[in-house]
Amino acid sequence: MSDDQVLIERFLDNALSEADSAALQERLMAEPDLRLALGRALLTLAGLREVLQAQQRQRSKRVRRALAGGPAFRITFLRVAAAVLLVLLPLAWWQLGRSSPQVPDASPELATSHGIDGDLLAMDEAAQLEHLRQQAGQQRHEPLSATLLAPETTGDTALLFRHQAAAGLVRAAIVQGRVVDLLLAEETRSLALIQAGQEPALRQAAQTLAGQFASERQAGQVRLLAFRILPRGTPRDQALILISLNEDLQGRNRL
Amino acid sequence: MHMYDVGRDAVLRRALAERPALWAYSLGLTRNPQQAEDLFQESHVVICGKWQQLRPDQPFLAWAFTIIRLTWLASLHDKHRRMAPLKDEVLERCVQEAVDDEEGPQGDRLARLRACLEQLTPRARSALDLRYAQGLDCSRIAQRLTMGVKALYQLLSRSRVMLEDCVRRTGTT
Repeated sequence: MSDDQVLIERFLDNALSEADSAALQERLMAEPDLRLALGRALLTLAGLREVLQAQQRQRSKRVRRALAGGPAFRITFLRVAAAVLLVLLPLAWWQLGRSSPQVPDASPELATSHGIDGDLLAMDEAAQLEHLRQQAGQQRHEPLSATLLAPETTGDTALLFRHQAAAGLVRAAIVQGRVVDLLLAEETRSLALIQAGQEPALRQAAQTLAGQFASERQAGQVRLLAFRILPRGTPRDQALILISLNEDLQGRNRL
Repeated sequence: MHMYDVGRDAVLRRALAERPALWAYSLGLTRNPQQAEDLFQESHVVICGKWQQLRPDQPFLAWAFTIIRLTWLASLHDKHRRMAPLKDEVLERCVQEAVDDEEGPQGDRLARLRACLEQLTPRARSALDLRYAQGLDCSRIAQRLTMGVKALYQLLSRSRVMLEDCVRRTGTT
């Protein structure tokens, strides 16, 4: 690589000092070869601009054409999207299944501040679950209440239960081949939860919830359960879980 | 070559045919692809508006270069920018002599350039794309490609020289 080529490159990058520019000008006036080299460099770059921009336009055109594709393309696109979802969703489901039973990343101090029994934190997962079952007087843990999932049931708790159920429904939907519809339904449910906008009321309800249990220990255990279900959930998510668990447990106790 | 119908359409067709030279001159003045693009487009508006000023005996490129230069000077005055480092006539000679040195129609040259571009390494193509399609400055490109600025200058320069040689070689075969 000659020094002149680097000089031209620096000129084109506007990186020459005034002194260097003046020297370049003197040389350009005296040296036809250098003039030709600079002129060719400029013309090559002009050609490159045309070619690169044409390629960019071509790429944009392909994307636009793809997005505005006809029914045949849309069907292919949906098939590909469904195939990707078929692979990704079970993986995500498996990952969730793996991560949810773990004690959340919360520090012991945070756990204690939420009324979680320190003894429980020291137990392994299986022992924790068993302990919780015994303390709650349950022989087994039913995931959802059929009543709350019924379409006529309204309110945030019902929404939450439907939201939780949606994950299971999506999994079922994969088998049934109705992925897109149910993903949309899932999104609608999530939006409904967010739009409910009742965070202060939900926090209050969560606090009240603790008092409804027979003992502080039991309330703490429920909180732990909430943490386990939504370890990375927002306080609002956790409050919703607490409320739903409360109703669920109360329902069981009545039974 | 300079004897053509000085109608509006003829001038616009000529401007279209000479766009590489006009853009090259704009880049030489601005030394910045984005500013060159602005200047190139602003000058085209002026060329479209003042086509009647082109005399039948006047070389098109010289006339268009003057318009570009005046448009550039107006923008310098407006924005208090630094003047171009080269005298106008020096830059004009560089581009004009390179245009005169070229052979064959522009469209053919672009097709050859497209084919030659495929022969570059992916890294060199990325550098050229970032510099001349996306308009990034060399320091940012060097950062993105994790290389020194001087090494980037050499890569760009080597790639450009290789393209020039390739275009010329394929044109003569």
